[in-house]
Amino acid sequence: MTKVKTLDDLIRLRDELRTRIDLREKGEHPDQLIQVKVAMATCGIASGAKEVMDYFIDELPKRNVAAVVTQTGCMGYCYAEPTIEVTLPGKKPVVFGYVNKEKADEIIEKYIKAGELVDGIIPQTFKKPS
Amino acid sequence: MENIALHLLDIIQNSIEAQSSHIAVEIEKDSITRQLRITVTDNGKGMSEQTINNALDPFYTSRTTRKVGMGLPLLKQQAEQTGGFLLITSELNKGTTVSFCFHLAHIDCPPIGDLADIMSTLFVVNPEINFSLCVRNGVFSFSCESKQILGIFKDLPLSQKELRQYIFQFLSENMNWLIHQNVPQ
Repeated sequence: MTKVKTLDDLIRLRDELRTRIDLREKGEHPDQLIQVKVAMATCGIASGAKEVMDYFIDELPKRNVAAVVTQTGCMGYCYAEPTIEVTLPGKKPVVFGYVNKEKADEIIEKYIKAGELVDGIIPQTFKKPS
Repeated sequence: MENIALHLLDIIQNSIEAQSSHIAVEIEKDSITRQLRITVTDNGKGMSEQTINNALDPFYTSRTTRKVGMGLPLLKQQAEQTGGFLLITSELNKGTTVSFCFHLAHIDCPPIGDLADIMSTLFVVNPEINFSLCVRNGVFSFSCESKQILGIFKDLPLSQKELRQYIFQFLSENMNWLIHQNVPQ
């Protein structure tokens, strides 16, 4: 792999990619994209949420799932960190707790790809004090 | 936290939650005193003097989801254990600056971790925020801005994974030698 050191290197890499890549449609429909939000507050980071986020960023395109991974702050479920919130298009967001790599794999295969509910869902009964 | 890079991720997360649109990260490696100094400056909603004083209290937090805020007090403890420090300055509606320093040669100093990995992930996952990154070691330095780097790839439908991979290569190539080597002054 040629070294990418200067901005010019990045630009050259971009030009190379342009000729090789075939266009995918996902960019056209943002509301059709699946959203995966990973909680990254202190409790999350300390329990390994970064590895979970990396896993989703790496695995979702590998399995041909059109999704955007973002980070959020504390969702309040510190006892169950790492936690993630998955929003399938047209559906309500679902929060999963105790997410490690195996759980993440299960969530991708069962919930994201097939829509089946998985163990470890945290029900949205938390009411924020006003 | 396992390493210094994860603390940096935590502090930057605070800046993101303060609704910043611009976050400046300065990393300075001092080869003579073997110190790593990191400063994060944001343009978020800032804190009042009262809040700054409370921020280092683990039982104080601005969140409504829970009653403790451990990030800053834990970082302060870890930094001070190595003979370093943590400083916070802020102005309401202007922004906040958090500065911390670790003495790398101290026996209690945690590993630095992978700063290029943390920064490349942050760039890709928060495209609406402009991060300006500057890494210094003596007279040598490297600077870049996330929006400029992301802008190079804007016409390509790359996945987050590929984008992160390329930006990670670029950042680690430029940053790692500055951070890990003791450069002659």
